[in-house]
Amino acid sequence: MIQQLFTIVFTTSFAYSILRVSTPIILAGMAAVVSERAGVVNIAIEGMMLTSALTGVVVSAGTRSWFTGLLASLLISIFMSLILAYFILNLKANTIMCGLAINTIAKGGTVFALYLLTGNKGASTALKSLTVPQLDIPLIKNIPVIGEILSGQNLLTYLAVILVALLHVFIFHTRMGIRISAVGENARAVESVGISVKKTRYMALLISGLFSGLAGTFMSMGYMSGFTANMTSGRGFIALAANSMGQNTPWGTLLAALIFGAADSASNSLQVLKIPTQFIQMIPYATTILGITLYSIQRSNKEKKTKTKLLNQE
Amino acid sequence: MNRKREAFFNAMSVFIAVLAALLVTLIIIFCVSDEPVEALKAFITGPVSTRRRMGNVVEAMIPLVFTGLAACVMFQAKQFSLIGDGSFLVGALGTAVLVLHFDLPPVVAPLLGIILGGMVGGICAVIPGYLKAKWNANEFVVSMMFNSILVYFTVYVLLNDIRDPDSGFLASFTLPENAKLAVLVSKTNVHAGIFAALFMVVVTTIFMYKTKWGYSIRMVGINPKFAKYSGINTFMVMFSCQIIGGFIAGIGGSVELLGMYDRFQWQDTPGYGFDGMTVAILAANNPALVPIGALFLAYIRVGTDVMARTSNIPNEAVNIIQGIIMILITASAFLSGIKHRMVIHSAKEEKKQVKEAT
Repeated sequence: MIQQLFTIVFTTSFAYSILRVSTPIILAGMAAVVSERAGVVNIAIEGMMLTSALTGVVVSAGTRSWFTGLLASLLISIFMSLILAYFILNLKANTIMCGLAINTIAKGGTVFALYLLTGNKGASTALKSLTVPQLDIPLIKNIPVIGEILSGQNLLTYLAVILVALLHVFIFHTRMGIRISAVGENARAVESVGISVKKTRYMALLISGLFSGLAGTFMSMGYMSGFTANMTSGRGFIALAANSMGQNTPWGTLLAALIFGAADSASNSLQVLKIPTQFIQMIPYATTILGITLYSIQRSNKEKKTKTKLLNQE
Repeated sequence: MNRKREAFFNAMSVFIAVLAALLVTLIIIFCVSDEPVEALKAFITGPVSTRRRMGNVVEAMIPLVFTGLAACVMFQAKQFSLIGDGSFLVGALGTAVLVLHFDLPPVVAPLLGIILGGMVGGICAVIPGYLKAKWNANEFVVSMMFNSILVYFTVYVLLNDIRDPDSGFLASFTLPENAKLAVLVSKTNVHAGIFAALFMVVVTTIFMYKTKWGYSIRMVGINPKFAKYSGINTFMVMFSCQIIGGFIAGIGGSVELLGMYDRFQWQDTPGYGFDGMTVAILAANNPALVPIGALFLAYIRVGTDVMARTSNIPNEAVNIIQGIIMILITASAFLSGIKHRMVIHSAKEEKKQVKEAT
């Protein structure tokens, strides 16, 4: 059995699928990083992903251009994040409730719209939608093992990795990025030096919406070609978990997303083994809970240490 | 005075939110439908047009009461856990396994089944509850992930323990007649579970407002630091409120199964945990008001179903209505200006009274 396991895991197609499966979680994970840094737990990522997944399909089918489809889905996602921001920041609504409400509307609204457009509640097969192209990378393509894994991925997969690097620079090396983190750490202190907390959070949620849009587009125009009802199936929440595991940093979250992707791909290919399928399908979720637990333990220990330190100083 | 004002503003914000949501529905109906008046009529009067449909409203209300109560208990302590969704599913599963394996006499079978369902539902909440209370792990994300695990677990048990191979679809063996809850009204499915639901409403209300434990839960929700310094065991409160929530939701799952189904056939959560959150918000987290919130949600749900059958408007419209209500009630700041003025006004009045007295 162990041998069988090895032959599954150590194949190039397995590694290729990890990258593919992880992409939406990496992108949505970045959405979680930015908002969480600004002190907003953005549960609406799931709903924004779902809405942009449908928008991408509909617009690309209508305009015959994947690029306009992508653009439209980014716009709708950003628009939704601004609505969320308005309710949280201007109307002081509860963040989690607002996120849940947006998810509920998105879940029903996408099926509602799909039914009105195609007469089908399940899938968008009636729409001839396009996909974001896959890229063959010239030199890497010819390297034996690495080429098979890294080349031929979806354009959005490469974009995801580049954006992780850019987001890292943005958060740690630009004024705006540092402000966002400061707002999340201590909003009152930031307010006291004359920076608008509200504006900063708006900015963070806007970026979060952009990343959610990319993640959603990948779902319907890369991972699959076409929209199916509730196709994000909790990836927005897994992204929040990946962000917890990755300790609110872009690279950490990328790593967590890859671990999740690996567990997910493994659960797909391990189904040939004699363990009941359902237990294998639990692996990714169990991994995530374990990751969150370890992170939370570490964080609460750290807090305790600082507390005792401060008490001793007095 | 203060409490009255709070109640007034809660009622106002719920009322305005419901009105706004219905207005949006109206706009959607008029934009989408070819026969908007017919569709609207179906939506509004459909649920009360026949005895059977009125029955449907009450049937749909029963599980919502349970998950609504579960959400109330957790929300009162500011615990945004979704475990009610998983507890509902696994509670029903536990009941199914019990009544299928043991040949129990009538009355005992449903009673034991429901108690076991509640216990199983409570056990489901142990992990998210403990992780939150002990290490402050985000209960929302953990419960969400844990629900997925519970779903796979349920499918495993359904496939390997209670599956009826002769059934045309994936379902358990038929549940014994002894275990099923009695139907109360002929030509409908309104079952004895409604008494269980109302009983739970009374028990939960007493628990939240008349016991020390309930008081602690509310205090932790209002101000956890203050609660801690005044000697309340916040760890136990956070831990227990999720377990109580899971317990109530688990009972709801059992009641729904024994009242409405002949076989256990869920392969995913039926989503009542989510809907329970909407109910809790409509009820302003007050258990005593949960039946009203549940009735309202059940009514618009049956209304959209009737509308979907008579017009081209899909019943997913209910999710849109639900979402708008949720977002508007929680965003009650659109009333805060008026509230603020009222507070100042009443303070001035009091001051005047004090002056006159002296």
